Amino acid sequence: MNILVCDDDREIVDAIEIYLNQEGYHVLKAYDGEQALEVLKTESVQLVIIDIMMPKLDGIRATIRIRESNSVPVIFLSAKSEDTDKILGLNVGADDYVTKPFNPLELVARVKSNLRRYTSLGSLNVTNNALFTAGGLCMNDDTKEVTVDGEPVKLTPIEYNILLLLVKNQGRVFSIDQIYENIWNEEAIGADNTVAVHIRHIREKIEINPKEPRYLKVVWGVGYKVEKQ
Amino acid sequence: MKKENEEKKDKKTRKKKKGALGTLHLLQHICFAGAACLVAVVLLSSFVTVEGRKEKETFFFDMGDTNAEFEDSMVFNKLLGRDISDIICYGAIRAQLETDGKFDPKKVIDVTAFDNRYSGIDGEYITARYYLEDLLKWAQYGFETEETYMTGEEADQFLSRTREVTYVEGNGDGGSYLNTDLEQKVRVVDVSGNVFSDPENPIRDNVTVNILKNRYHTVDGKNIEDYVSSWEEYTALRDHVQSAAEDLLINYNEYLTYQDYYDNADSNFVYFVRRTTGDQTDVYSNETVKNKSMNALTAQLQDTCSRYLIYDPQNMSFTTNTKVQEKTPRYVLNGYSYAYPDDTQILVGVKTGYKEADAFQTAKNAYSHYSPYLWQYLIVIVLLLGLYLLLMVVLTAAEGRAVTLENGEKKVLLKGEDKIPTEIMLVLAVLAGELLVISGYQGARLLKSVTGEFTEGRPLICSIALLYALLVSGCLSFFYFSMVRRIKAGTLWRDSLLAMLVSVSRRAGSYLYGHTNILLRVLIPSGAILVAVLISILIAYRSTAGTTAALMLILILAGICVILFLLRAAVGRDKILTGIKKMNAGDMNYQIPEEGLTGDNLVLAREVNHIGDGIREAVAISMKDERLKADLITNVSHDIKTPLTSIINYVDLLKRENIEDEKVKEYIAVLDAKSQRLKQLTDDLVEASKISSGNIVLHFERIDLIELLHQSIGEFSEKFESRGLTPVLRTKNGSAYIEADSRRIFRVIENLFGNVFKYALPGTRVYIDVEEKNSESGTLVCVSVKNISENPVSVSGDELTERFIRGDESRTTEGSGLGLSIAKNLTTAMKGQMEVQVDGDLFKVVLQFPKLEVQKETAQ
Repeated sequence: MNILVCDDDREIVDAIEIYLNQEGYHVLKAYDGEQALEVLKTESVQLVIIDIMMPKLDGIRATIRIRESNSVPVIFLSAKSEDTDKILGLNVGADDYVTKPFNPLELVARVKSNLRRYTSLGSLNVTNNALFTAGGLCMNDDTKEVTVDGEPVKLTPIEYNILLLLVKNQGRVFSIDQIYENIWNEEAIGADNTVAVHIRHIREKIEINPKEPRYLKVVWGVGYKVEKQ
Repeated sequence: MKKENEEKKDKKTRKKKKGALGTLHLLQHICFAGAACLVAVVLLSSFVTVEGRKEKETFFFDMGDTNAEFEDSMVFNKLLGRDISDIICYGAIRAQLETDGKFDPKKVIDVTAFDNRYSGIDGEYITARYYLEDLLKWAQYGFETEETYMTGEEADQFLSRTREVTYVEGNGDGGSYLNTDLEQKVRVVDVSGNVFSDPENPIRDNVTVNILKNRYHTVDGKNIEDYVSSWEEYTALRDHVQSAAEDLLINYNEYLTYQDYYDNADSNFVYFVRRTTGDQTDVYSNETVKNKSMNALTAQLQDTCSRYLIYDPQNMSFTTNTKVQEKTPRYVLNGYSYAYPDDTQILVGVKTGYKEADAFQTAKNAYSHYSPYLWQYLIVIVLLLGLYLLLMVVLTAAEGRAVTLENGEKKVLLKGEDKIPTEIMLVLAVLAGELLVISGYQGARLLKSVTGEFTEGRPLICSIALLYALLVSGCLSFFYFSMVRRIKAGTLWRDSLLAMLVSVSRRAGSYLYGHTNILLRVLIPSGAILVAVLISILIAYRSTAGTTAALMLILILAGICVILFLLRAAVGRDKILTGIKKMNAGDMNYQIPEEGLTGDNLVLAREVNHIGDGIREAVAISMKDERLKADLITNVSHDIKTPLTSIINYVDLLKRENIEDEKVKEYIAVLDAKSQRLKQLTDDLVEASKISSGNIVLHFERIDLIELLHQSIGEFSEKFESRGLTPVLRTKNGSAYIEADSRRIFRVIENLFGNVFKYALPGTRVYIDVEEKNSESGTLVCVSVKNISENPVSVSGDELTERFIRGDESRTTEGSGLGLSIAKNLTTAMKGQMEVQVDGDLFKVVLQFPKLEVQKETAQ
């Protein structure tokens, strides 16, 4: 698999190359947007990691150009950590957004996740009634199997039930009490932080970065939900 | 050239306009004068003055008679009515003075009967009879009486021993005056011996009486004392003689005028008065009467007169082809009932040829000049007045219209008189009006006397009326249009004396206001008021009730003025106060409205607004500075992050190498930790600066603080466990709603818990309490987080929330020193309060948010 890494800071590119090589990917390097576009023209690339602030052609514009002809997954890598920056990046066609300084392991996990989704997309059988999905999250209620981007995830029965409740009711926010009553079938009298702890455990298992969850989101002071994907 | 032409044209048109305007004014005056002249004509021809019996008599035509025949008009009616009344009166007098239709000087007059002709007489009475001519002459000469003292004997000598009593056979209980004329009904009897019990020896009292000097004697050659036997009878008879004679003289004079006026062949008026007393029938007429029978008279009347009236009260018959009503002859006849027997007929008529020059002819001529034209005159008058009013409206609109000057400015051109102060102009107008009224009145009086009650010189009167009307119209226009121009130019008030007075006093006031200190400003007006009140009291003490009332009124008015002034000042002050409060509350854009404020308040408001401007500017500058600072920090942090990324990555790569050397491993661990801290620090720094510069957008929603705490404890459960910390959440209710930004409120709690995690003594409990508190601004939700600090805290709670302050000062432990600062700023941004209390090793953070009141049902 060819991964194009593009950043004007050569050391960062080299470091990423080391990590990705260890995972068995082949890395193509570029140091500005124009070079990246050149590489894409000549080589077959399965994923692009690109910085935003670069000379000549910045990452945003480069991505727009890439998206004109190519649906390859694009991960932004930027020091800009504002919400607005992230939203802008995702809106121009990027699939993921990683802020600098990044955790190398997280980056690798995201790369894997995106590649799996990119390559296995469309092969998913959705006709099964017991199959519940939310983006890359997939729950099979018959086999009690949970996969994230195709990777199986092991959950305890309670964790599984909580997640299933949220996935079945995507978009709806459940408070701790409601979740408790649904799962334990008991009235919640002064519910404690049990549910919250379970939720955190689920997040740690299904999310790449539990602090910035993609699937199981926390609405602080209100409850939990799985975003409609 | 062109411009000049245009200017000329402009001037020409303006001149034309002026000319047209002038013509309209002239037309207006002519209308008014014409109307006045016509009114004069109508008024002058609306009456007729005719020769009366004694003097000229004036009759007004009735408006309703227009187009009626003269014979059906009111004036004919009045003339005929007058004549009927006259001839009845004349008839009554004739009966007194005439015998057989001729004046009879030797006619015998029964004085008592005559004098009682209205009231009637008793069946028996004492009287004296004189010849008519004697009585008339006596009355002409005058009656003389002499106050005489008489002894009883003298009186006895003077008065008769007997008295002569007259009996009249009358109808009913008494005799009527009419019957005294008839010999067969009168019986004269001498009565004697009835007066005294002993006629031979009469005893009379001594008296003083007025004795009439007997200038003439009765038909028997006697005097009145010869008919009476007592003083009562004497004085009664004396008075009867005197008043009968005087009445007769008056009637004689009347008789002459009647005779002159009515028994005249040159008259269009014909009358017959037929009266029958007993067997005797008299007919009074101005025509030759051949046959005294009623039928003959009727025929004679109807032959000669086409308009006639026949009244026969005894037969209840009233025939006429005039508009005279039956009551006219009836009322008059009733007034002279003593002279007319029941069998009386009145026949009158008018020869409608009017060949004779008399009152009827004069009236007929005047009427024919008046009646057919009256409505035409009136219509023309109304039209002229209507045109006058129309022109008034048109000219009111046209006068003083703004003209465009050469420089394009619009201006109302004023005349010389328009610059006279308004009040003087008004006074002049009143004076002129008064002058016109007085001159009109006096002129009319003069004219009346000169023209003989307006009967002559009608053209002169009309032309005088015309000239007078021109004068009135001119004056009216002069003042009225001056006022119109003033109003249009807006100088009515400006050019008035009152305005000048107000302006001068205002200027004086403001000078006083501007050039004295605040003490004088208060002292002068209040001193003036005090002095005014004192003077008023003094005056009131020494003056009448009217003056006192007037003074009271003035004082009350002044009081109201002062109250209004104070009210205005109070309202103004309230406005300023409201403004200051608003500014104080943070509404820096508020400006105190300056309308309606005066004096000190205006100055105050302006100054406060200036302060507001200053603060606003300062705040704007400081906000801008903060934002620049935040931007700088953000940019710098971006620049730091890129090299930091490499450091973190390569440190990580180093960790993966199989390094045997423990020392190197230790060094790498330090690098790892510090680079992670640097990362945290840059993130926190950016966030802190953004929050403090207000550069964040908050999305407020309903938050359950208890839910949030459960969630947060869940998040931190493993971290707490790792340090042996036990969180204890104590709540009173199941939920505590506030309004906050979901992610930001978690950030606050996260920072607080992070703090606890870092600095709390391992193995202790962390108490988290939620309770509600009532305060002035409503219910507050308080969250307190308490823990025992691991190390002694050497700084105060307040300082801890400053940026980069940490409790241990050593800065060796992890943490940026920004956690509490961020938490506090975020809390404040979400309208909450955060307070840090340090009590020995007890570390306590209290959060306070306004409670959001919601029903639990709707919340779930």
